[in-house]
This record gives sequence, C-alpha cells and structure tokens, in this order.
Amino acid sequence: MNKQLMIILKKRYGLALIVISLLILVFYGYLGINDVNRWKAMESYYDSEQYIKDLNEIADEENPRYKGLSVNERLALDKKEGLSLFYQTNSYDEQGKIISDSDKDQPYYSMYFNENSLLLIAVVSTIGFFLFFADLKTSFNEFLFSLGVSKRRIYYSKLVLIALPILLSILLAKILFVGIITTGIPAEYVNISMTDLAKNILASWTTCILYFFVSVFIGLVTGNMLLGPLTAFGFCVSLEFFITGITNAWYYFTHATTDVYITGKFFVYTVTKDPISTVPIMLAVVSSLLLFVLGAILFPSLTLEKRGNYLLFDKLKIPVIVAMTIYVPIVLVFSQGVYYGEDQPSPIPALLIYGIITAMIGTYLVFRKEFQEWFNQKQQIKDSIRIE
Amino acid sequence: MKIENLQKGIDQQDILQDINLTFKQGEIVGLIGRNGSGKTTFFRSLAGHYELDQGKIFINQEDIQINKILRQKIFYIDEQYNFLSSYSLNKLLFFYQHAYAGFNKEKYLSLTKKNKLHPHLKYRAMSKGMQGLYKTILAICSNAEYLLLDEPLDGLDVIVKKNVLGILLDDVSENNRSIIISSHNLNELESIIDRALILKHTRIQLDYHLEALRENARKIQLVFKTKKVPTLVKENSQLLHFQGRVITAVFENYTEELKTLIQAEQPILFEELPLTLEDVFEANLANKNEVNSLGGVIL
Repeated sequence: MNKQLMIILKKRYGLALIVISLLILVFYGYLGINDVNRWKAMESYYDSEQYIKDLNEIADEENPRYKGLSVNERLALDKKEGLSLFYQTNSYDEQGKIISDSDKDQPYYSMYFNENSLLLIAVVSTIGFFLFFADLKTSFNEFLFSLGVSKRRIYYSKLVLIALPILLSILLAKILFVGIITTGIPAEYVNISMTDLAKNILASWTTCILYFFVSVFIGLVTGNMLLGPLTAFGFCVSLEFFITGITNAWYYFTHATTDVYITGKFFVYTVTKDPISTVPIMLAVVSSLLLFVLGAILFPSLTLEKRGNYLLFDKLKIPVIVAMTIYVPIVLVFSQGVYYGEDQPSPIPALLIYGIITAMIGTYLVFRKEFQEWFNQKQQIKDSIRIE
Repeated sequence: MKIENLQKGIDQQDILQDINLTFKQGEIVGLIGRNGSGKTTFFRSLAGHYELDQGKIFINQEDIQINKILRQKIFYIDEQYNFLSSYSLNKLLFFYQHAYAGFNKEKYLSLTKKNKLHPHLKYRAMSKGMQGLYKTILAICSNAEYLLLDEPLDGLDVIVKKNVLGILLDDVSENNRSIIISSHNLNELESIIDRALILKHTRIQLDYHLEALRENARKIQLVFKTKKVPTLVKENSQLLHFQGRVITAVFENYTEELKTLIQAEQPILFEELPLTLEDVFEANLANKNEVNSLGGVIL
C-alpha cells in the first residue's frame, strides 16, 4: 500500500470509520444485553407466584399440553419452550400429544436473537455505496487522481482501509452479540451448538459482504446524484425477490414442481437453528469476489468528465440495459410464485410487457444524454430552416 | 514537459486534437482561448482527471501515464470541482503536505500568516479573493515543477490581484518552475507571461513567444486617400478595425523594408500604436476567417 495515500485516506475517513465501527459494536452489544435482559425478565415471570398460581388453575381440558402433568412439570415444560434460545411452534392432537411429524417441517424461532439485520444491511449498503460515490460527488477524486498513485492502487487502498475495518467490525459485532446472549443465558437453555453458532455468524456475515460489494459496485459505476442511490436502494431491496423469482422461474419453466414456490429468505441474515445451505454462502462469496474484481478492472479507466452521468463507464451501457430487462420482469412476475395449471394464465405475456417497459426506461436512463443531444440537434436544424 | 499528439473528446465531441507542446522550466505561459475552447479540459487532461483518448505526456522523458509518481510534478486545483470547501485550512495543509513530497510548509505558514489566513478558517467561509490567494499559496508551496492555474485572477479585486501576481512572480524568480495560466484577462496576462498559446477549434493554433512578437509585430493605424485598402497592407497584415478610411492592422514580420513600401502608398496617417496581447487575441480569435497570417509559430 502507498504510505502517502494511506495517510491521506486516514485523514479523510479515519474519524468516520472509527465512529461507525464503534457504533456498530456498541449497537450490537446493546442488542445483546437487551435480549439477555428480556430473557431474564421472562425467567422472572415464569418464577413468579402469580404464574405458578395461574398454572395450577388451568384445567387439562383448557390446554391439552398440560394433560396429566403436575404443576412443576407444567412449569418445566413452559420454561423449556419459553426460555430456550430456539423453539418450534408444536402442534398437538386432540389428546394433547405432540404431532411428531411437525418436528421435521416446523422451522425454529427465537425470541432472543433480535439482531435487526435489516438495519445492518441498510447501514452496510449505505457505507458501501458511498465508498466511491462520495469521493466522486465531493470532487475528492480530482485530488486523489493528482497524487501520483495509480487508480488501481486507490481502489485497493480504499477497500483495505475502509471496507476491511467495517466488515471486520460487523463480524466482531456479531460475535459480541452472540457471545453476550449465549453467556448471559444458562447453558441448559442455549439449545444450539457452538459450531452451528459459528456457521450462522459466518453465513450472515457473507450476506453482509455481498450487500456491501453490491453497493460498492453500484456506487463505483454510477454518477447521478438521484439515480445512483436509487439504483443501489432498488437493487438491495429487490435482491431477495430476484433470487426467489429466479428459483420460481426455474421451477416453472422446467416443470420441476407442480405448485410449490418459495417465498422464504435465500441468504442468511441472522443466527437461526435451521440447517444452513452452502449455496447462499457460496453465491454471496463468489458474487462479492466477482464484483470486487470487476471494480478493480473498471476503476482504473474512470475518467472524471463523466461524473454526472448515470453510468460512468460506456462499456457498461448495453450490459446494464440487458440486466435490467431480465432482472425487473423476473422480480415482478415470479417473486410471488407462479402456479401453472390449465386455469392459470401464462406468465409469459406479463414477462414480455414488463421486459419491454423496463428496456425502454433503461435505454432512456442510460442513453439520456445521447437522446438530449440528438433532440437538440434536430431542434437546431429545425430552427435554422425556419430562419432561412 | 512534452505533450505529444494529445487528443480528448467529451460526449462524442472533439475538444482537443493534435496538441503538441513543450513547456520549458522557468517560463510563464498564457493559455488563451474563448469560453468553451477547451482550456480547462487541457488542464484536467494534464492533471490526470481525464483519461486521454490519445497522446502522451512526458516529464523528464518519462511518460506520466506509466510513471504515475511524475504527476506530483504537476499542480492543479480545479476551479469548479474541488474538495476544498468542506475543510479548514489546517486540514487542507495536511492533505497537500502529504500529497506533494516537496511541500514547503515553512513558506506556506509564512505566507498564510502574512495574508491573515487563519489555520482554523474554513475554506468556504473565505471570500472569493481570499480563496484565489490561498490556492496560489498552495500552488507555489507544493513545489511542483508545473503549476496549472485556471483563471487565477478572475474575480479578484485589485489589491488581491496584485498580491497574487506578486507571490507568483516572486516564486518564479526564486524557483525554476513552469507556470501555465489560462485567462480571459489578456491585459493582466500580458504583463507576466513569456509565451502565449492560442487555443481555437480544438487545436493550439498559435504559439507566441512574446519577446519575439514584440520585436517583429506592429499595430499600425493607417488612413489612405481612398477607401480601398492597398493590396500590400491586406497581404501582410491582419485587419483589426476598418472604420471609414481608418484602418487598424497588425503586421507580422514588420520590417523597415515593409515600412518603406507602405509609406510608398502615401498614407494620410501612419501611426504606430502599442501592440497588446488583446489585439493579437482579437485578430486571431474574434475573426471568422482562419488565422494564418500572424507572427506566431503556426502549428
């Protein structure tokens, strides 16, 4: 790394970097403590005289779960279900017996992992987006490009100096959060293994990395003050819908299933007890790497006369229109799932209509300047004819 | 610095073409051109803000696009796009001190103190004149070999203007650096530049060394008996004004022999007027006809 560049970048971003990293850590620490406190409040509630009294008064007929159980056994059952880190909503038959099959199908829930992953993704995406966009719009790039350092080095230095600490502080914050909860709650209620916890933390971290690099890339290739942030926002918000949409589209076109469609989250956002597939992790890592490499290829060719353009790189114009034309219709048509059967309309007309509309909007956004120039030229010709 | 075949287009429009120049150390060069002629694009291309479509820039025989560190020998602050406004002078000092290896901090501190530019002052809180003065201080303290100054005197009052010019001229006399100044204020440029480049129609049309220009060219006011301008005058000059029978013309390669020939045409009035850079600019750029008759090196 170039020492001179690092000193300048530290001066520019150092304070903000420290504040953001600390805020992430403090916020996650606060969330962890909050969740432990909630757990303790629940435990006190179960141990209260009133609760035991109420439990004593419930007849077997009122709640089949308690059928044939003593008060202590009822309390133990409630505690096990209510205080465990993860629980399943069990189904009971008329005799009060648990329907055993539900164990396999029911997902696990947790009341004590309130990570607020949506906020984290929003923060990560915002930081990622502004990593390059901010320097473009505040004209700091003009200064950086005069430094006698290659643009490729600027690209790597920014990622090392800013991206790495932010992503590491997120990982640390997640470890801190899980650490506070698992140490704050008695081990008998922590019904998840350390390995699963570690897997979950890493999996949800790769999701953060993916959103970060998606936003970094959009911030790097866009230059319009309004359309740039909108693109990043739109893409990050719709990414899950796109994955869902593409899966459903695959099911539909390959006739793999008859009426099954997925609506759940594809990527891992927080700690769960559900089995973790390696596909979303691999996809997140590979996509992030690809975006990182693509950024490293594009950034050195950045030329600042394009600073106000929607797209800063001409070679991306056509690929972006094509990507938009594929992406948007899939999100709009398939993200809610499509059943196929004789009485169901085909999704193809909707795909075509959305595709045409998106292609038109995309073409206008990407080639707006060219359209305006063409229009102005036409206008000038008209005016000159009128004068003659 | 040597520029070879520089070309730059923006939005499918050629802005600069076939720019071939050499800047010598210790000379002050004026870059003259009308609004939109490409002066700022030229500076931005040299400073590395814009990628060149074609061409090479050499410093000490090394291509600066290959040996990037050579960019430190060029100083340029963009008038329109710069990051200065969000920082205090203290922080700006930090940035520039680390950007230019040879930054002269002592000189910076002495000049800012002398001009009452307080370190905690925010750049955006300064008046336009003070901002201009501050940028000049940054430029000369950077110790870069080539200073690119885009309209540095524009909008400054007389006192600040004198101050800026004083700082620049002092610096040039002390250090052997090259200063390239773009300006519309030709009268001000004339008093400081050694060389004038005229940028027109995407190319450097003329390259004047002012000393040679002052020696060879003359601005002469003539009145002849008839309204008809003698062919001799037409062929050897660029007409500046033509009002009634009064002709004001700039003569290239004005010699005693030419003077005798003109006087042989028996003009009623023959008066030599002081030739200014503005006259040269007007004769070359204000005319619709292509320039090819003045005493600059036609490129």
